[in-house]
Amino acid sequence: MALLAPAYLWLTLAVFLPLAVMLFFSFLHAAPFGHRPLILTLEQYRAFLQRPYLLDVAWRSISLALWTTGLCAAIGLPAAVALARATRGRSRQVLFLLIVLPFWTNGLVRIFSWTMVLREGGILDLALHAVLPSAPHFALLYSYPAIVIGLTHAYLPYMILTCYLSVSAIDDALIEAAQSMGARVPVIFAKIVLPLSLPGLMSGAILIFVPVIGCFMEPRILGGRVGVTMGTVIEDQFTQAFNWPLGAALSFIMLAVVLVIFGLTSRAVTTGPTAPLRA
Amino acid sequence: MAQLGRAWLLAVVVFLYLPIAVMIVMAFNASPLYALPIQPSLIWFDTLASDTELLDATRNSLIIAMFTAVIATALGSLAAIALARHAFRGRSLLRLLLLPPIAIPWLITGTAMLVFFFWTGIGRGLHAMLIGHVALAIPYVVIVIGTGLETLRADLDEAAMGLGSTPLHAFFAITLPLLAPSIIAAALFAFAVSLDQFVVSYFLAEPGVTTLPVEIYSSIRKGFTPEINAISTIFLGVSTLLVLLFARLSNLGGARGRR
Amino acid sequence: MVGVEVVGISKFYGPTLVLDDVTASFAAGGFTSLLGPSGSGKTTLLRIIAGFVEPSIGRIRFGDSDVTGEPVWRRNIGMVFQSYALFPHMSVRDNVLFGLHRRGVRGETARREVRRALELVHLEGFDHRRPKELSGGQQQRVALARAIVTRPRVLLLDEPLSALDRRLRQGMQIELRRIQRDSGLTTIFVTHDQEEALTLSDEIAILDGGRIVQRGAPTDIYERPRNRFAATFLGDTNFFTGPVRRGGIEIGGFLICTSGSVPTDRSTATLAIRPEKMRLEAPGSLEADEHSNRLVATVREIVYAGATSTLLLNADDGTSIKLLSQNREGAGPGVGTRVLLAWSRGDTIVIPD
Repeated sequence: MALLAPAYLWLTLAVFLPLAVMLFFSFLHAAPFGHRPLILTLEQYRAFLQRPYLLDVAWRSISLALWTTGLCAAIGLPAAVALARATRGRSRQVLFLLIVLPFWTNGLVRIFSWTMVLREGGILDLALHAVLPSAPHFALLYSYPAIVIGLTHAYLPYMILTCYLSVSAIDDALIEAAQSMGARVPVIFAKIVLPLSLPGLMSGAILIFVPVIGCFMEPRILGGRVGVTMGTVIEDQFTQAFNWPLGAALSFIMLAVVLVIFGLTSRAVTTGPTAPLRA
Repeated sequence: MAQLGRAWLLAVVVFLYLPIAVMIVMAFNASPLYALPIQPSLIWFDTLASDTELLDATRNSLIIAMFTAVIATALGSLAAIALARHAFRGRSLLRLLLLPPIAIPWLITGTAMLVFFFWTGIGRGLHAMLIGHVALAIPYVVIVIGTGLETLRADLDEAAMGLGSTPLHAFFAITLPLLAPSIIAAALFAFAVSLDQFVVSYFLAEPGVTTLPVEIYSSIRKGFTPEINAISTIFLGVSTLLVLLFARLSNLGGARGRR
Repeated sequence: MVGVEVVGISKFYGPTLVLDDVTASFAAGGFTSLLGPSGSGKTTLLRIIAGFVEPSIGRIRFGDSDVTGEPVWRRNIGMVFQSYALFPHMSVRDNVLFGLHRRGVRGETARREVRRALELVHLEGFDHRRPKELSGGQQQRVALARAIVTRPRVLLLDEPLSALDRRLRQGMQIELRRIQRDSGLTTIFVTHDQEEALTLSDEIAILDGGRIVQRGAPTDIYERPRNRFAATFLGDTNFFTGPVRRGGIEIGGFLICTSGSVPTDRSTATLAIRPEKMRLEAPGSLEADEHSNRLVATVREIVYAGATSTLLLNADDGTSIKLLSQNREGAGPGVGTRVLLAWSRGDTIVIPD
């Protein structure tokens, strides 16, 4: 099929081959430039397990991703439910567009916009002073919470979108049937809405967790010196420390984690409580 | 209950747009320290005009985005057509192979490209970024056009052939005109993907040869200048326009036409 | 226009045999229906004749030329699809012009042909409308105009009326027949609706399981079905199976005969009679009659349908019988009544097992 060749050839050259080469690099002692001998070794991977610093950073990345995903779910699911069930027609269209619009605009710009709000002298600080003039200067910027806020803000639309798709697919008749049997809102939410929006939650979680694990620009911009994640460490290897084999190894460890997540969650999505409905 | 839900929804929307609103306002604030009250001014937009680095980066971004749109749409359309028509062995696998560029964190893909291009002598710079951007845009193009093709009826081709069209003629007379909106939408998508792309550009940029997002990032790292607000506002405006155009063309925004 | 011939057509999809050695000829200028349930292979046969599908074995001839290897776009056919398949981005006129342009007919000649075709289907003046502005029936007629304007060698229709509602359908059936007669095109029409086939066709070919089960003029096939499938697919039938005695079969003490002979090479045989051919007789009239069959039965249920009534009865041995009669006189027998059924021997059909 000649039609497929150009696109896949391009992808091979730009994505698959580079990944393969980087995999190869991850098993080297040192980058093979300037006539250095090619020594195959597992030391880069071992370094990850042996250096507590790296394990610590890895854990920070995971917990950052968990916090972000959790907040997005907590904020996003109710919003999605509200969008699907409490709005109609024109207002729903407008709200939907408003929510989806941000995530098509440049992520860097959106992160940057938070610096305006969180910095010392920024909006938050000024607002606080408007209420409590004698309070000390308040700067959330360059702190861990700032990173979490920025990431949550950036990825919230994903979660709202995926949850909305799941929730809007819930048949009204199910809710009405529950109501006719005497169920009140909390029960309906817990027993019907929540389980049936699980696929949406899961897809949203994947869409958020994976990029956040690998993020580096957000921690740097919003976290400054505090913003150290797996992503920033890997980026350092390539731009500062020039230890490409180590960077490669760390990248593939991260990739492995990502693939494991895909593997686990795809099974959950297809065998969850609504699996028979979707079969 | 519904009231509560709507209130929450509104709060979420405010949360989503608050920092952006602040940034846009500050772009028009003459004070270099972002002091209030706001002194409306276009001064930062003026200084933009003479910031050659930023302008060069913008020009690079636009050029790469245009080329990416053309190349990715061309390659992706062909692939989408081949994948849509007849089921063949290996089709699912090929479809799966489109996922890595989107699913793998761009950090990994970007650094892999850096490594590979350096090693094979392709090097860094505009051409390298172009190669990277096209690769990242292709999956999106295939998805958009694939969806468009699905809504295309197969019997139209047959009707054309029954009336004397060769398959090639049927493609140009029937399929292509009906696919046009999807193709344009895909091109816009590819353009937007390239314009917004930061991570891969970051690794493949050379000193002096960068794109707008990379340049903005360096400026931020060097220290805040209000110019960044100005250029970001412009950037945001352009992106928004593209999105609205795209939504128009591909009838996106799930709520449209939904119950 | 020419006749169409299919010789020894078989089609395999993987291990599944969809058409089994089908041989038939379609007379030039005639209207033939391919009738059968879904899965019978009728659409596959049509698509093989059109050229969309290649037969695994066999040949197709249009008149004198063998078109088996020819791709569909060179066969000069006119095809009407179930979904009409009008080009949505073109006007009605451009749709109809399409085939003409492909054959090199352009300019004023082409436009004249389009006008003629639209007149034929009673859609004059619709030139500049778009398909989505048309009703189902109108789209149907545009599809027809588009197919016949190029004066194809054969006109193929794949269940073109099944998307229309009943009233429109009946109107279109009459239109279709008129257009076909006026244009004189050899027409092959696929349908699963037996009434439609009976109304429209010069000849019907019944397909079941990839084979032509029976072929002939509508009255022939209806009055003389040659096997069980043909008898039940086209209309309703009452079947009587019983031991062969004295040139007929014995059912509940009565002798049922045909005007011909009953096969004597086995001990039982099956005879059939259509529900509308039976009549009710006064219980007392048991005079022997060489031309009629008689049977006693009990009325189980009456299905009233305004102009007609269907009586569901049970013979004494439990055989279920259906009788269809016009409601000419007042009320008929009530449920539970024992009645005497009678019908002509000439109408009785032998069903081979």
